[in-house]
Amino acid sequence: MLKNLWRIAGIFWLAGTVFTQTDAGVETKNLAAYYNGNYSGRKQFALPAQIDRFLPKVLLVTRSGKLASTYREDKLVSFIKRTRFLIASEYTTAKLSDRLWFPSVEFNGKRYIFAGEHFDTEADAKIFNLFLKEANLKIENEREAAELANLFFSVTRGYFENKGKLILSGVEDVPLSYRKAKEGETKRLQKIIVSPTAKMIDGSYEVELYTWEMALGEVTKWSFKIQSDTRIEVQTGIIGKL
Amino acid sequence: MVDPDGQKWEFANENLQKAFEEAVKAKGKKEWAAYQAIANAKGVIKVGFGDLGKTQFGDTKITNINYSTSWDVKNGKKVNFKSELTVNGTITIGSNKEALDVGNFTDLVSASAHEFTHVLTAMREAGVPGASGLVPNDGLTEKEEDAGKQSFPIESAAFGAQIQAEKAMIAKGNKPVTPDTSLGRANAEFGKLKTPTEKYDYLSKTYPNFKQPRPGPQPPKKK
Repeated sequence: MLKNLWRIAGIFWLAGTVFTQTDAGVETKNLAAYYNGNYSGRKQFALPAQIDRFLPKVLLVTRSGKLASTYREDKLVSFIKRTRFLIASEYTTAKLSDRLWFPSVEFNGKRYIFAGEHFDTEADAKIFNLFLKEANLKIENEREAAELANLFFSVTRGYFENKGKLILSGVEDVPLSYRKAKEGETKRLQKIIVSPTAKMIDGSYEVELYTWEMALGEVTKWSFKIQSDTRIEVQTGIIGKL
Repeated sequence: MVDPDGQKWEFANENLQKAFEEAVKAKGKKEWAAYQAIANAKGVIKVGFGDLGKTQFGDTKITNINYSTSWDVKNGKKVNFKSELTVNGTITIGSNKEALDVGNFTDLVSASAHEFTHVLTAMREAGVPGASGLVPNDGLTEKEEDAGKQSFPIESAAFGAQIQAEKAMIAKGNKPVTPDTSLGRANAEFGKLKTPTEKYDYLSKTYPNFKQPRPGPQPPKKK
């Protein structure tokens, strides 16, 4: 009971402090105001309000102040180990059939929650770029460029949770039972899917890779362009279904 | 179902109610009795539709469940036992057309069967008589639930229920669940699996945080 009262008090306290700004704005400069982590006492964090509009459940996350363990920490890539990887969990006192998890990074006293605008989509590149800017990362070779793309997956809901989602090195990585059901599509994709590549083009690094997810069978091509200032652009396209 | 006190299941429409009740009946008579017990309980479980994304076909939240028994004492003996069940919550069936086709009755029945398993889990945990025989023990402490741990026995039972419900619908002459939806793909794949290890490996891709260890031999470590 005491725990619940504490939580309820926290909800009202957060509602009064965090949600006074109702206009989201999607400009990078405005978003920064929403990351107001305060780790001296009770844990709290906030999400960009534009996410609230698309993800009602995320509101519960923002009001929970509830953190989970750092069990994904080992997934961090080598050059970014000084960040602390945390997981924001949907909070509710309800008995849940499915709990939502949101990957986040704590860095320099701020929390970055990378939830996209829709369920099961990639992380919000604007938020990701905010974090990269704060971390002042420098990408110095193709390997690090590929690691940065991996980091983007680490903070993408779905891939972060590893819901049967794979980065492919070839179509053979898709489980046989799914390929057997779609032999024609498998042959077509066999000619397209290759291992992740990273190369420098005109002063920017470009990373290309392919993924497969189990629930719908979507095979997606991902193109990352990493500018010299480490700003990242992400393009995705579904190229088939297995 | 007549319930003048407003203590009942509430459905978004009659078709969904029909589908949900088909799902419960497909599970068995005891499950139907549990469904009716909730209909006669205090509180409301609302069942409706909502966009849960492309891959999730259902979601259950039981916000409050309480079972209590009271009695009088006469001549040193307990008499006039009374029990009271209170249940509140929501069940959302995914409306995203890639998750399932809400126009396919079998899809609704199959997804409902999955979600009703979670209702039974809540009833078991609340100590409702008879509920323990209807669903496995989830094995989770409150602390583990807070930490996001998931239950393999429950999810395995829920997936088994959704497949069983589809089979029951097909046996009645209905069409199968819609292929190439996340529900259709899940039923097709999970339905092929025989051993607990196979089921664990499949489900752990959707539920990556099971409390229970993988049954059987551990997979070889990646080098």
